[in-house]
Amino acid sequence: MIDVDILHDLEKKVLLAIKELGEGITVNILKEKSGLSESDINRALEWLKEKGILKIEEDIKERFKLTEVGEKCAEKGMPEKRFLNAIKDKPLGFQEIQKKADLDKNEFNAAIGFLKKEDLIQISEGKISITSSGKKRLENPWREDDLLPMLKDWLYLAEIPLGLREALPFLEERGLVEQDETTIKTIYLTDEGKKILPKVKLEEKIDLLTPKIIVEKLWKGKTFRKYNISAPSPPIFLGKKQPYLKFVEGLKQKLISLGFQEMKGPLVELAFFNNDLLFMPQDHPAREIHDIYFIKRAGGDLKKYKSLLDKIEKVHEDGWETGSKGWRYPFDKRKSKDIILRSHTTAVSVKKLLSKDLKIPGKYFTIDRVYRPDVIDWKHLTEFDQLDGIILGDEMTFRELLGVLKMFAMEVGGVKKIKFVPGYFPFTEPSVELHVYMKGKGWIEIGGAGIFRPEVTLPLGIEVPVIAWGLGILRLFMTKHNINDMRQVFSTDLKWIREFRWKNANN
Amino acid sequence: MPTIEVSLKDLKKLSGLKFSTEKIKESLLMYLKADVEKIERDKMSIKLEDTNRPDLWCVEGLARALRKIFGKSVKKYSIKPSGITVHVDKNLKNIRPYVACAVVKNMKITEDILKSIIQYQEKLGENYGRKRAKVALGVYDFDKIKGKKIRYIGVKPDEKFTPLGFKEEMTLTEILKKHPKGIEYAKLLKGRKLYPVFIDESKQILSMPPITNSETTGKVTKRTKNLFVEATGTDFETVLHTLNIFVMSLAERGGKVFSVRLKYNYVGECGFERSPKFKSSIFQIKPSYINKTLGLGLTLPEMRKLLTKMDYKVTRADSINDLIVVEVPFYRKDIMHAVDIVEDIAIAYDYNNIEPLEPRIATKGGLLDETKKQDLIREIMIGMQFQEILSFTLTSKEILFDKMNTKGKSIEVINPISSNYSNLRNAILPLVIKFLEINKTVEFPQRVFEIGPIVLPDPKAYNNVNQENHLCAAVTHSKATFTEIKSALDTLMKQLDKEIKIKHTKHPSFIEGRCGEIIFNKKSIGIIGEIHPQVLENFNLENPVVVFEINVDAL
Repeated sequence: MIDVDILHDLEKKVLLAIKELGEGITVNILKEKSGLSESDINRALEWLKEKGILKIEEDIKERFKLTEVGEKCAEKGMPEKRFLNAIKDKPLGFQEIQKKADLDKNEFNAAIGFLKKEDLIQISEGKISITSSGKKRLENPWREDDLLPMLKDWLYLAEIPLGLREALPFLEERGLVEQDETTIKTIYLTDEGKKILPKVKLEEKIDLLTPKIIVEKLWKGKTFRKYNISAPSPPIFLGKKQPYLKFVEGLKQKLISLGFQEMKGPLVELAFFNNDLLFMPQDHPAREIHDIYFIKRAGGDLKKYKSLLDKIEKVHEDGWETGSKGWRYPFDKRKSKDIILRSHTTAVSVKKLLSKDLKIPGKYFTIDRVYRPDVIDWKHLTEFDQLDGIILGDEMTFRELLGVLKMFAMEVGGVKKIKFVPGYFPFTEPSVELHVYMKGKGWIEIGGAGIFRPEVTLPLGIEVPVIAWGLGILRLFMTKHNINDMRQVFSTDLKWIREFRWKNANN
Repeated sequence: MPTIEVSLKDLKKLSGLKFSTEKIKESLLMYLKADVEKIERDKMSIKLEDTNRPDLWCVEGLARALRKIFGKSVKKYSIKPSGITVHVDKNLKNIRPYVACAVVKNMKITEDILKSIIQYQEKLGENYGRKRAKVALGVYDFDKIKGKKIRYIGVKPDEKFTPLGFKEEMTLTEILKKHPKGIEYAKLLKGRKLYPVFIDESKQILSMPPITNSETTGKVTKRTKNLFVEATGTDFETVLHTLNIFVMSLAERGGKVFSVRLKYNYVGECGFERSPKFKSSIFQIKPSYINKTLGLGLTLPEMRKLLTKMDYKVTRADSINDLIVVEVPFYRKDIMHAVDIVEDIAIAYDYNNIEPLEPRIATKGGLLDETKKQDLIREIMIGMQFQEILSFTLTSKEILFDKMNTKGKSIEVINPISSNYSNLRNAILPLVIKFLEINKTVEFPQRVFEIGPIVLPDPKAYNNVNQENHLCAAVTHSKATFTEIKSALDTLMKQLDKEIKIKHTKHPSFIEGRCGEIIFNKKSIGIIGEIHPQVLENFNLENPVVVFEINVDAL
């Protein structure tokens, strides 16, 4: 049962009025008789309805009222009655009747038409006499005369006595009565309402706690109105992080705690850094227009890297001093200067190996945007983020690489089952793919890794092994949050962002 | 990376393995980087991840490798001379200079084998041959070739022959225009005055590489017993290798291999070469290097066993000199460095038998200062009830300029997949406004922000661009005012302890008199204002929008 104490004073006042006036009253009557303002009543009724204390039934009803012409008839009686009375003893001329029965021209015309049609009078030689049925009619009661005085104010059909209702169509036709329809709102108590009604009483309770009440201690000795604390409340449009970016932030924190230092590189790169330094031969399919966005062919400036470019040319052609046979093709330095949109964040890793502040041993990571000329659909985007990490150190081996991947999958990905699968990348050897087992999805490849080839590290003057790995973090995010459409991650749907829920604090 | 279709039954029969389908799948993945993507009854769709191992792009190659790995005997190939000579005309030197050929006899060709041969030929030309530019293969009915002297020569475009699949003779020019392969690969011969063809002693044209064969001599059917095979291309080593591995797959099917003499005047000793060549190469590798790279303590006998499994022949294993000498099989062109052999040892050992080790390098982790600054700004914006959003950095000129009522320069990609993603954004604002358009039916008020990179042209930079990190914030609802966005900017700057000034400016995206430049350290670092109704109309917006965008790197 509803606690009566949670009722607002207005609600109580309305309920008390209903108690006094009786259930089944209309809203209009309540407004008239309760002494409350219309807006207060409306608000209170709305609240009470929501709480399930009362219900309001709406009904469309007909009502009737006299017209101006009708008002005169209500006073003097029906014109045809007056007409018949005037000639009841002897036939009279038109004007005489009009005068004797006090009929104006309209009334006279209407009455004569009606009486003739009903065969109650007859006209001969300019005089009108009453017929025998006319005389009989005069002896019968005139319901119209009883009804008309009742209709000075609007009267609902139900309020008109049964025997008189039949006269309404005739009066309406004669233009003596007008009709309209109106909605009647009737208040009924629900079972719940009936139960609590006896308990409702008005007492002085504190509603809003105001500074005045606090400062002047007005609350002492009084009670507070109880609120309906389980009532629905309006939403707050909070400011929050974009869901995927929050996930990325979590990844970064994890990497920092594992001792990784963040690195960054430009979105617009030269093929030299994106491809050549990574020992990708210049006719490699991944370097073609279907796999890489070009800004300009051969527009970049490599003056600063002249000696390195010479070295890389040799590395590709015959392996230079790396112990490799090289790719054995004529290297084209112009292609190194192609300006492209970076196609993988490994370009950032390899550039880090070139930088002056590189520390050995060292651990580095980047999470950043890469581009591929793919048509956008549910499983392809033309730009997305990659995570790339490297660890340099004399004692780094393939086992440590597997160790990093395992740690990452388990600690960051929260995955329990993993598998290492041999992979192929032009810039690493040995190469490995990380496959993880996801409930309901089976084995999923989430990243690639390997030890940078000597053809990559030696020309840069790096003589220690560099283990490198890249993860598709978008896939990890989607798997964790059961998102099937990649486009959702870069969502333009404000509603989705506002309503996104985090299942737990571990992202 | 290529995807091939093979018959599971065929693979099981050729490999002699009585494994379950699951075990076959696992073995292909774990030893040969061959990812089975789909199995439909007998048909297996396999993606070959290793673009450097074209020897594995056919069922014969996969089966051979599996036999070796699981200790079964493998075929030994022998080559006998065929007596055929191919003369290479010097007029091809600058067109498609290299050729290698072979004769393979005693083939028993079934429908399935024919399909498999054609698939392998296609994949080699398409992927390894870089869409036939670098190398393409041709296969002929050897018995229909007349004489022992075949000429590879450049001829005039009005020469004629009947191309594969056609009934009448066509000129070479017509073939490039009408034949499906001619249309597909015409660009490879574009601008040439002479087109390469093979001609036999009876002067009939056998084919026009790399386009199509002759319908009369160059068609292989189930009735064909003996094959003539040629590879042509732009690099001799690649041409020869492609021929070698293709011929190897035919030998795996029981074909007997015969070599062909190649008479060049610009390749080889005295202009003579011979193909195919199944010659292994010698590689030296230090056992200590193997163990140091993998982090394992393998003994020499263990290494020998693993190497043998991967089809290397160990000719010397010497712990005193820390040396292993191996013969690398002829079909392994991918072995460029000792480290490639190390990977094979690891694969033979099985990656999942290697115990992962957590790196014991102690380093201090940390974020870049720019990330820390951006995170701080994000936190403040969120505190002011702004919702973070994320847009693409690629967009259209229409959104960047036309709809914003502005003109300007942005970085444009040469090869966009769609004009919607053809330009790098030079500001975030247009994308934020676009976001509001997409969400115009979502509840108001809307307060959003984005922080991220923008790219501007800069001819002086090595990569021709200047990249900055910008913050853009926008507020829209029926009563949004300039003051509201200014409060946000001022509060942000106060929190960051930066003093800025706002200077009136004109900007075609904004209402005049309600738009200002944001000045910091006497430099303009951004813009603030109320968006012009014309721009709102361009984006179908019906509520006022107030915004600011600043270069956060400048703060």
